[in-house]
Amino acid sequence: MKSQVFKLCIREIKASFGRYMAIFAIIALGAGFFMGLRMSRPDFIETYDRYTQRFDFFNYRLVSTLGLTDDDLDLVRDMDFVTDAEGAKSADFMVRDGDDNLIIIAHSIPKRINKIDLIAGRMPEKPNECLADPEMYTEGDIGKTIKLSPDNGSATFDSFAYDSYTITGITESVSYINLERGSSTLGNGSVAGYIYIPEDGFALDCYTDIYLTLDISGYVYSDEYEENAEKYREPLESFMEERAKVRYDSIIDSATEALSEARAEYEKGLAQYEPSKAKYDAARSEFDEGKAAAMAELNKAEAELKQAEAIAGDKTAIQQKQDEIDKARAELDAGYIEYERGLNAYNLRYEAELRTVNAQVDYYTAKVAEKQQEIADAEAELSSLNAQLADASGPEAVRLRSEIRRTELRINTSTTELQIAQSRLDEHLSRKAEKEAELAPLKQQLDDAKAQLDAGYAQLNEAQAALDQVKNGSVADARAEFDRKKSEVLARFDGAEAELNAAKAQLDDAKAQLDDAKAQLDDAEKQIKNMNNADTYVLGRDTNIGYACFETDTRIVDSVANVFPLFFVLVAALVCLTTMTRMINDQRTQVGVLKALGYGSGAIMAKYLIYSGSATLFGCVFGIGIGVYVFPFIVWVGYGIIYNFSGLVFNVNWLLAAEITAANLAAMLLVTWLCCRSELKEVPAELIRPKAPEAGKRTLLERITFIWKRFSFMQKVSARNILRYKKRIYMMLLGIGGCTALILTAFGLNDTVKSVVDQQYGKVSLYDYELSLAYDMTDDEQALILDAWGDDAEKALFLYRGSADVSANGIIKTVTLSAAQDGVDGFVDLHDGDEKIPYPGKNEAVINYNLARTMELEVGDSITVTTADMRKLKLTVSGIFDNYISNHVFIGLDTCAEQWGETPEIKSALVCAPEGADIYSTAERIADADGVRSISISEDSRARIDNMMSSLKYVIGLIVLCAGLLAFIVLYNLTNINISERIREIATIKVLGFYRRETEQYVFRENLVLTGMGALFGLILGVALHAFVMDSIVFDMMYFAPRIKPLSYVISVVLTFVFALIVNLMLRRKIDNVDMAGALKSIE
Amino acid sequence: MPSYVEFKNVKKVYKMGEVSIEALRDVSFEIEKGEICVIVGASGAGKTTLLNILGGMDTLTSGSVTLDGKDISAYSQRELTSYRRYDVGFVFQFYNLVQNLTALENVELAAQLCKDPMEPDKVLDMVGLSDRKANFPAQLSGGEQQRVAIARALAKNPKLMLCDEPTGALDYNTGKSVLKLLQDCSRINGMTVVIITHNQALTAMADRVISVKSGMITNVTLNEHPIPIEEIEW
Repeated sequence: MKSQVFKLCIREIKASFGRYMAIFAIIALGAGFFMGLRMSRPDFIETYDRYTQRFDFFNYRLVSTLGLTDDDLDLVRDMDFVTDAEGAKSADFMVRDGDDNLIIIAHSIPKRINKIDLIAGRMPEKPNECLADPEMYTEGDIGKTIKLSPDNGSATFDSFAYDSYTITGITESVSYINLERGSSTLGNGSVAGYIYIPEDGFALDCYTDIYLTLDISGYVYSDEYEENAEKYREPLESFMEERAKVRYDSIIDSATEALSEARAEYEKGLAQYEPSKAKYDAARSEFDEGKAAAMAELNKAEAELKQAEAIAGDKTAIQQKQDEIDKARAELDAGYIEYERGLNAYNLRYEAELRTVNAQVDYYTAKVAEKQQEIADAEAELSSLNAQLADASGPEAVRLRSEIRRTELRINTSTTELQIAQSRLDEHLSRKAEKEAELAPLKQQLDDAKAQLDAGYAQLNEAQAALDQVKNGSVADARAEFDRKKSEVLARFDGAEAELNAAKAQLDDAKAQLDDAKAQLDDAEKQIKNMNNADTYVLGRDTNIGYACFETDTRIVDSVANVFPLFFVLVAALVCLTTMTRMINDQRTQVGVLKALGYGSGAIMAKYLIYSGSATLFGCVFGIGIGVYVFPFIVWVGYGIIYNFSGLVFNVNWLLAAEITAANLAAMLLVTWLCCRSELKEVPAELIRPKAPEAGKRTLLERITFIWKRFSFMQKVSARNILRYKKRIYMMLLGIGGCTALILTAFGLNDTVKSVVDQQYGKVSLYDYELSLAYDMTDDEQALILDAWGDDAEKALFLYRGSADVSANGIIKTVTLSAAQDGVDGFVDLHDGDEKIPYPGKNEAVINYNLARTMELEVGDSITVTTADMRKLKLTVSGIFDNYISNHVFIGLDTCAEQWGETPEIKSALVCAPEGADIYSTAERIADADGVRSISISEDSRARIDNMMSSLKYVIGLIVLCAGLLAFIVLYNLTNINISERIREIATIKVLGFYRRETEQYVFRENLVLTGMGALFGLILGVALHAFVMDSIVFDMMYFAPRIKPLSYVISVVLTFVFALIVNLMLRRKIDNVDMAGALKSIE
Repeated sequence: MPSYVEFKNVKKVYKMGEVSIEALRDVSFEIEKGEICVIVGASGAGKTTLLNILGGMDTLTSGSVTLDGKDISAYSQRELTSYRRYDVGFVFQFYNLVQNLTALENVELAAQLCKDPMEPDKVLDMVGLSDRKANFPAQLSGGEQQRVAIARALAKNPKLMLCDEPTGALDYNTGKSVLKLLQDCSRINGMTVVIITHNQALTAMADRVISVKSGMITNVTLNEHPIPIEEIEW
């Protein structure tokens, strides 16, 4: 009995292969789609995991703003949980690209961690060789050189040992798995590519990073990995802090030492300079004086010369001049005679009056001298006597004493005489002086007259000489002589002046150098003073852009995978339902016969269960078998555009496969059982008789006579037919509607994801640049920097911005905290739909919608914000604004002032470029201003996210394709069943003389109307499904606001109709082949 | 002048894989305009094949068929459809009404195809279904359904009315009234009616009786005095 049933079943499958295949296909599609999409992300992650293992992707990256030393490296390597540590150097630089500069980041070639994957060429052998980025260079570029642009700053040139590097190969890198290259503080801030150069290619004396591998178990992105990795963060952080202090001290020490050395050098220079300067100044003034005197002399000579020249050639003038001279000479001669006469008279009088006086003076002068001699002799005798007396005694002494007395007496006498003589002399001398004084003015008069005469003669001679010259016609010679003399003088002065100027230039040069040195010194001193303790960072894998992006990107596939397949199972069940119902209806007679023959319900039902069950089972096996490869592969192709590692690993989650199969089997068997049950309840006699055809009915539409009347006869027929088969309507609505809904959802997904950037950068973030600044932006600093930017910044907003943790409802999320003085209008548009959100007041905060959603926050709730430096703020949510990318909390500066007692440092700025300006070149100029530490360009972020979203194209294409297949199967199945059920009706109208087209239209008009209805229903369903899908895609950092473009609605409907038309075309043959005679002959 | 309907040496061979079955072998006969012709024969004698060919639902293997001087056997598929559309009315054993249309609508379905149809309302009045116009087939008895079928055929105002076992599914009295209707049609409207049946009793009502056996015409009888249906007993 069992084998009979089985045989019957095999035969049944053979007979109705199309029907069997319909079930098989829909199950295969559904199961394959589900399984394939569900396996996609695990496959991708496994692939990535293997990739990271193969190239030893780092677990932690240590960074210090002051660099890291070999000591740091040795110490960290000795930490017990560190498997390996490798120091790495990196620096970015600009290269010329036409008129612009591109930024390239150079890394030292790693040996053990973050290993590179050489895909062409060879490894560098010399320090000035490099490996290049395949996104920027191709194999054909090997041998070319990458040259540092002259626009690079000296700091950049100082970082590199060479100015250019020769490409020897092209390499991929585990650090750069997608197209992202990160950002830079140079130029416009976005890095275009990387190169790898040998460590010797850098001129850096310390490492910029240390990469660590730790023994951490767990797949990439897994919770296990995150937990294990997190355990090591703290010890690494404290290690880094400790090392940073050491590093800071050593840098400060050596810097201070270098500074003082430099300062000494400077002072020495200054000491040399100053005396030179003084010497120069003296020489200069001397020169100036000399020059002025010489010039005056020359000028005078020239004036005379000019005069001579003026009269030369004029005879009467010469004669006149000669007469003048002769006359003057005659006058002088007369004067001279007068003078000589006066002199004789004076001499005679002098002789007469002074002769006696002079003789007396001479006499008394001699007398005084004689007396003085006498006294001196007597005193010499006296002292000799005194000396003898001291030695002598007795009579000799007595004699001596008397002798002394005598001598003394003599001295007294002489002295008296001398006094008399002296007074006489004085008397005569005064008389002489008296006489002389009497005569002196006379003498003086005479001398004066003599000098006057002499001067007159000299002048006269000179005039005569000049006149003679004129007479002799030698003025020209004089002029030549003068000119020669003049040029000689001038040349002498010019030479001297040139020498002086050269000396001056040298001095100025030295001065400039000294000033420069001074400025540098001051700068260095300021730097040392301002140098902060090193900021250290312990960075996990999630700070690698590729690593972070890959997770987000792949999660989208997963979200899609979680929602769509449900739909397929539902539709599969419906297809199965109609198919099995039709089959059982078709076979009522056979069932009746089997029952009449005594087969039990179970055995009969077994046939149908085996039929649908086997189709389901095979469908699942086939679908999963294919889907598990095909779907991940197709999606991977999409990701391949962005992610550069290939070699997808395929996995099969057997448990999931079993679950899918079991779920499908259960659904199909249940449906089959439900279909059979009602049928098998009937008694055999009833079953053997054909089922009465479904009765015709008036439809609701006919009651609405004004519409009904407008219908043509055939339209009425179609209308009634459509409404006659309720089950078919539901099936069509669900099947077609489902198809439309899926397509709409897929396109909507595209629209939504694409709109994220447009919404974010078009409606919310209105600024072009976000800057990180080096100093606290006080009002003065703001004015300075705004002045530096000039027209490049249309407007700028200075605010506090930093990373912070928000906690509420037991959930903690990392956000960007912004605090501005007077709101952010014009830079960030805070709105909720069409409603503008006021900037938060004191102790209030405005947060973005996605944050509110993930943290279950509403307006009025309180939150606690903890900044990176552990300062806390207690805030009340005053508004929730639309935002799509990353999470933001906005507060007022006064809130900080109140809760912290001070306002935070304002080290960020949002800047808008003027309308129509070139975003990138403007960025370069903005970033050039002093105080700008880094710039991030909105346009870049936008492009990056756009790029990331482009991988979705394949996912969307896949969904559309599957939706199309689904629609196809459903339509085919339903239309097929529809035709079979109505074969007699079709035969009848053919017999009545309907043409081929008319017959086809008779059937397909209904199909198209149903497709239209289904599509409309599908649009409604699609909007809901789309909203559901978008809602279930929850990302921390991105919010997808459901959005479907009008075009997507149109495309969905059009595509649905295209599928319906294809099905209709395929089924035309079936209608054409309906055998009129055969179909009409009998009932079944 | 040729007859209204002429079958000349008509041959029909069905190929079933390797086997060829000769459904009709060398059939020739004529039917005149306005006649009631009964084609009688046992099951499988080939009478339905004959009707299918005459009705333009099937093609023939060789020979020719003409209606009103037109060579039907030379028609293409499309011409055959036009032929069915304008020239032939069918009445089937199982009525083959469109279940989803009312009696009137079933008639209209046919009428709207033709160039010169009869008024569907009137036709239904004629077949005695004035009260049942708005009823769906499922709400009608077999006889009533067959009347609708006849009305549908009549409404097209065809040159030829073909009836395949019109009483096969009806009881005696109902069958009789249906046949009466057909006879009246012919008599009143001058319609040429061909009835296929295995019931020898019906031959009495015909103007012409064609007997078919094993794909051959065995006998063609002209009835000078057909008997009205009411008087026939079987």
